[in-house]
Amino acid sequence: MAEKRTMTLNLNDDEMNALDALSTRYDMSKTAIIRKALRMYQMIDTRLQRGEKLFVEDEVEKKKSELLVL
Amino acid sequence: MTTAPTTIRLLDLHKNEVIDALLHTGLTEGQIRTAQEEWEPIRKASIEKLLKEGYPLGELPKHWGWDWTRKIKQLSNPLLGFYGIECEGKMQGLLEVAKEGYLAKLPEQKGKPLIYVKYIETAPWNIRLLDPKPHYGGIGSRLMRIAIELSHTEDCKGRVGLHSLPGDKKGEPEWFYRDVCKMEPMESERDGEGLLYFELTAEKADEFMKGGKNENA
Repeated sequence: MAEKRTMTLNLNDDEMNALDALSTRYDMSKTAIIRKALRMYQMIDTRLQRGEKLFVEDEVEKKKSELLVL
Repeated sequence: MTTAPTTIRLLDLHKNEVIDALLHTGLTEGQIRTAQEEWEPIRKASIEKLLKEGYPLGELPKHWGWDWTRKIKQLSNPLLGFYGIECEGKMQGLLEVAKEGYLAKLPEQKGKPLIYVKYIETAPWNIRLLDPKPHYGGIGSRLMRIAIELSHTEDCKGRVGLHSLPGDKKGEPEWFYRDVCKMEPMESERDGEGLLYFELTAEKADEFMKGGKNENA
């Protein structure tokens, strides 16, 4: 198992509420949610760096829009 | 990403003794290529031998066509996990899991994240069909334990899902997941190839881990 390191994370109320909501919804710790989010961001960033684009699709409305990621 | 291998215990059925093996977390291109090169000729020879002996084609292990080298490009994908069990210099089993993108389907845990087993394979010399006494026992169970342990590390509480290759006779994949791993089959969730979906609940995962059952699968 990879060694883990601890850090302090400063979040405002809205951010903490969002993290709480995700943690409750998915029955996961806040740490696990942050870890998942980071991994997804890493994957998306790698693909964007390769020149690929990220889209979201609304199947009902038949709409597809590009998602911009910083 | 690869980390230093850890030592695990395996049952050597030829010597009837428990021996040390290495669990690799994260695999290298070299490890994948070597395993493929070692497994492939044995798979082919075994299939030919069984067919000559009149073994029904439809009853042969269904995963012998897998080419693990196709996964080399994915080895650094942070959403996937690759694991290998090595013993006496040879890879005895390989596992690929998805850490993201899969949610539980069973009513009691619907919508909760789980670890999805994409590929799981035991080296051909450990398959009972080829040798009445395979070299190492319990590789399939050990690989499932790795998936469950990862599920706990990822805070998925032991939940694991997979689509099984066909075969529900003793020793075959569906039998293994249902009877040994205690996973729930879900007919409604077959995939595009018709493979049956199995899911492990958090409770059954605990039972499986406590049981330490080491069936030769």
